[in-house]
Amino acid sequence: MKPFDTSGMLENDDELESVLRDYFQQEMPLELLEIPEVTDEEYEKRFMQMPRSDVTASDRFEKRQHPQFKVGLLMLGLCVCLMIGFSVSRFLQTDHVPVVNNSINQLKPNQPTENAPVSSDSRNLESAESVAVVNHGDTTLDMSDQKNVHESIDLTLYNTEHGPIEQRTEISWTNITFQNHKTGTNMEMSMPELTIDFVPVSKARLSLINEENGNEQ
Amino acid sequence: MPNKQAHEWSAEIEAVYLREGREIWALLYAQCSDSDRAYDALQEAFVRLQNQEVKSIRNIRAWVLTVAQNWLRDVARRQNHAARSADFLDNIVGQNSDPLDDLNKKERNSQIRQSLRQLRDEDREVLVLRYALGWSSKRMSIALDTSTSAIDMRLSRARKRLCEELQKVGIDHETV
Repeated sequence: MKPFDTSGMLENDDELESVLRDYFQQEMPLELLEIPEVTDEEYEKRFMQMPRSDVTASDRFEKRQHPQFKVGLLMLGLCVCLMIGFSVSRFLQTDHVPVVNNSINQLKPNQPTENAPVSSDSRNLESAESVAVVNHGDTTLDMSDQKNVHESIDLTLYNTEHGPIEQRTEISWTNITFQNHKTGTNMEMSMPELTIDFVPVSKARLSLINEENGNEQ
Repeated sequence: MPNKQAHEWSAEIEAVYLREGREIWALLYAQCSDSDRAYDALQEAFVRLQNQEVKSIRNIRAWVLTVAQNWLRDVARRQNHAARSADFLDNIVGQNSDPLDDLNKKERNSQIRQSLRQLRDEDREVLVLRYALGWSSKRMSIALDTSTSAIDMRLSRARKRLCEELQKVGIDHETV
């Protein structure tokens, strides 16, 4: 049981309002209670006279913060969408890049790698003496020099159902130098070409490899 | 000349205090649910305003409110719960009213304060503007930049939540 009577306090809104008015009357400092309150019309008039920049300033509680928060979120969402769109467009662009055909051919182990299947879209520019003319707008560029550099970067042996298969990964660089006769400048260009071959290895050669490995050990 | 300027500045500050003091106190009270602390924040902000340069502040009301709110946050961060004034106990002796009634009232006010603290800021805000300042829904809608129907809705919800909180602390129409 409570030491005081609070019955009837919450029976209706009027009771509650009366209690709250009484409460705030006691809570408000006397000095402020004595200040006369302006009428609604005066308040509205004064409020309308305030510059809009001041009205929207941070002099209110959260009311003004919500729109700023929403605008911030909107900008963030927009940035994320732009980044995703840019990434997707970049990803789709890469689909047009010629894909190297990595078909498994029944090639002999000693077959030269130059004959291995390469990109279907790649051009054969291996003749060092040939001179190609590239039309580049008004200026004429002479392709005067080419160098091919082959480099083996990986060799892996797999045991499959069809016997041992060797995976040869090679990269070849075609360096081309263009000469612009008008300006007298040279432009160098390097074109990489990745070749991955799967070559079946005969058991005899495999045993030889094993022996070599054993000797090395 | 500087004296004249300072005099004008003081007069303007006084006018702002008389015009906006109650509303700013109410907004501060809605933030901290503590009458004395809200009043201290108000006084502090106006004291600081007195020391400001005349032309450095464009919107005095916004400046005072911001300074006072920051002061309140500062105090809350420090958690400086110093011993509260117990002056009311001294006053009881000199008053003609019934001491038991006064204590009951203090107890009830404490419960209401506790319940108000449980509410959200926006709920407290509308309750304080309505019941401390006696503002109409129209005036609140102007001040809070919303419609009167939205204000009435917020008030209704705030009252409902307050009732729930009051019941939690033991104030109920069935309690005797």
